[in-house]
Amino acid sequence: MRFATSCSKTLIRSDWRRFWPLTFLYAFISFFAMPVAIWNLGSGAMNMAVELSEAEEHAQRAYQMACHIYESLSAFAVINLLLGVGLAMILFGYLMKSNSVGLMHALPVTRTRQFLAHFAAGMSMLTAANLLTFLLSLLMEGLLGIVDIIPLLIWLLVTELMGFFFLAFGALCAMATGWLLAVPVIYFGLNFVVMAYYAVLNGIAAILWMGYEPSFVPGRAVTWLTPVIKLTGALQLHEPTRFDAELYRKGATLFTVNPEALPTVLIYALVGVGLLALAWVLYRARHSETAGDAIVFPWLRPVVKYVISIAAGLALGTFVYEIFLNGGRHVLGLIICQVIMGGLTYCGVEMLLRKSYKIFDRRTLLGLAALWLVLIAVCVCVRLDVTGYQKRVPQPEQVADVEFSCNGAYVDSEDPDVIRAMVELHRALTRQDPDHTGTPIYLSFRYGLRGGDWMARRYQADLADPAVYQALTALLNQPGARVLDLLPDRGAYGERFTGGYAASYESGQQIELTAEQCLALYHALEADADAPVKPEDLYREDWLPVELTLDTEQGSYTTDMIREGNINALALLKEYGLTLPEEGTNEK
Amino acid sequence: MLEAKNVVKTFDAFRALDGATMTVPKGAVYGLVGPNGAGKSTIIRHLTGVYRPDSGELLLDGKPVWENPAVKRRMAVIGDDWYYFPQASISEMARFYEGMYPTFSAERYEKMKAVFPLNERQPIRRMSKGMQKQAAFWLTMSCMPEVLVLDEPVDGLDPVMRRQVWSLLLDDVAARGTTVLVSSHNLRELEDVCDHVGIMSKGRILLERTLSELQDNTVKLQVVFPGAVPELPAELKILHHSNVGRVHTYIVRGSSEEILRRMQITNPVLLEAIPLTLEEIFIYEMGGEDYAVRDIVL
Repeated sequence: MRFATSCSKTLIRSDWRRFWPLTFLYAFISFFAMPVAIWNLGSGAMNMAVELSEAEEHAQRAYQMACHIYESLSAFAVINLLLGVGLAMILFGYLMKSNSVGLMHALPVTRTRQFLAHFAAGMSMLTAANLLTFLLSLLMEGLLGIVDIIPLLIWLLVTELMGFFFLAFGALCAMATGWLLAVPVIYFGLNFVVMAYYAVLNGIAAILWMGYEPSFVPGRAVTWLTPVIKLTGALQLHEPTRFDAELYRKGATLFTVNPEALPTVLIYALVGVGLLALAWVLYRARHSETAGDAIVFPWLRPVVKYVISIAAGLALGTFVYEIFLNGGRHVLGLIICQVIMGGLTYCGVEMLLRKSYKIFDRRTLLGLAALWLVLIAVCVCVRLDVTGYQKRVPQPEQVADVEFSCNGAYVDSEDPDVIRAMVELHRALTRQDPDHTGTPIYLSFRYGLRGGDWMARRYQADLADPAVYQALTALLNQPGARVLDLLPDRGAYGERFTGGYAASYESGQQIELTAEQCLALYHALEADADAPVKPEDLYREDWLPVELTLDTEQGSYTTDMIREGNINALALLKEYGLTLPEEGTNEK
Repeated sequence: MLEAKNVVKTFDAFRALDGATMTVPKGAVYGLVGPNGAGKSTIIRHLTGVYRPDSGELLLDGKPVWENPAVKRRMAVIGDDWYYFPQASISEMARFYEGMYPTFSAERYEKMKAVFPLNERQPIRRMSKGMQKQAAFWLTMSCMPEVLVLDEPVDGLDPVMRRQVWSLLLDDVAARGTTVLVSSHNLRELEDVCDHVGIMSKGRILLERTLSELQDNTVKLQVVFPGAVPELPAELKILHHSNVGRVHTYIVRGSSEEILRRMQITNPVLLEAIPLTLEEIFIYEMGGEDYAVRDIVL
């Protein structure tokens, strides 16, 4: 046992001797990110709006330091992501060459001990740099006389756990391959594969689904399966827990660590334990002679081949489709693009795995056929809308509020009549010809559903479709949906006007407005907004080069979106002496 | 005693070891010879615990080598492509070996400074191939192993250093009873140092004997017959025949006394038995395995 321990120590010492520069680099970056930044925060000028007492300044500096320490955690998530793969590459790089694996595996140490020793070496390197950073930061705080150890301890714990997770992840990736350069490819591939698939499927749905609103905010599962995204999100700053109303009033920073941060990091650390165990199992299972193989486990090769080929087929196929057939919903074109790009990728991966260009045999053809079936199935399933996405329309009573936007016009309403009109319009849109050739009008809306969920859609409405036209007209003319209201924040500043002005960009003319004129203009704009609206009004770009500002004691209403359709307002402006362009000259 | 029993190893579809069985007796210097691709390096990597066999056993004194540190610390190996840490000097590698092998002798390491004219603080990667080989011997022999496994060990060494290295090895064998397994294509050299020989082909050990048994078991006969070549006794196992003028050369398996006695019935004018070199034994044995020098006119 003592001998085995001595061997492990020798391996760890050897790793330290050879790879200390990476630890040094990490410590160097951390030194600037933590102790130096803390010193600057603690010794720099305060830049506060109000002069603070000594005690308040002390507290504010402590807040700022804590805030910086917590804020740095998301950056350390990214640094640890990079460090994890870097350490895994250097620590387990000996597995990638036949002579180095020959030396290491001929040593009188079991594979388990070797694995653990190298992993321990990596963790000790991380820990040493983290501890050094922690101690130097504490020293800086001590020198500044503002010691707040809790944020530093949280930083140390979170950084250690993140480092552990990413190193375990890196070790697992290193176990799968016999090529050093394949380690980062697999590592980053696995880190972002779910997000990549999510983005690709989003893109395909946007092409094939009528009404699909691409979401660039991934769901919980996608985020959790993309650790660095989840961690950077969970490690964002949070509203105060130690709220100091007096300091806050004076403009102090009072953010703290996100309460989600520690549970998230702990969950990932537990996952890291699982990854480490899996890496250990793979280490024991892998054969030394696989050094130099792209993927060392035969059972893993088809998995890698298909994951890469399907992702590439979908992504590159969609990319090529967007280049050559952009604008249509040609499912056959999309399938052809995906089949070609997926097939090319499959052949490339097969060549890499076999280390030969001679791959065109029965096995490859069968593999290609399977891949093409999957790609076609994905496209067909999306096109046939097996999930019923395109036909899904909520019942009005399920909707709590609705947001509607069209060509710059925007409505946000909880009015049941507006909601009902919106749902009716939505129903009409799902029934319109998806491949209509009429002049489209782009609409997007989002329902806030009761229970906290939401549902968003985006359509190219066909105004030639009578049902759509009628439903849209009905919505636009709801009193609670004044989409052409130029003063959407009406009522925010009251109606006690103090004055204002109107200006023409074209002539440079500016006229001052009295309080009474402002009130009259305000009511004129109200009347314009309440006038019947036709769907065509939404995409008529007939804005006039006019800016109008109506001041109240509480603030100002300002708009530069006056159109030719604002008959009442324009009549008043003319009356007040503003020279306006000839009617119709601004139609674009 | 280092043993391989029915070891099978397949790389993809290629059967690199096909039931290889060999025994290296304790204290022996065992020469493992065979054509390129016979599986010599593969079986050495199995014997040192680097490769795991598909089936079969690798044993040292009856104990398995695979994942057995207690066995592996009694063995040291110099592979055909000896590895050192890229930035390391000999002294740094010595510290590494010292931590790994409890039998590492600092005293011997110091003594061997006089044998190998190397700068122990110079990075090994800056050394020539021959100097790196010297460094490998210096470090490996300082481990004082009971079993030394060498794959093409003197490749790249100059003649003086080759002799020096062999002399050190044989001293170790004599003084400490070290068992040496050595794979090499330099058969003339092996003949001088080995007491046991194993010939390997196509993943199997074709034969393994002591060198003297091997030399006693195959005879090179030079014969001159009075007239035409008579019919030779059917019981002679002739591996090869050639002639220059009337002088016929036969390679015959069997003891020289027995062969000479049987050849007397052909009434030769001249009959002489000449001992075979290891190289000749290898060539003629491999000829039977369809691995022979072919007369090809280009």
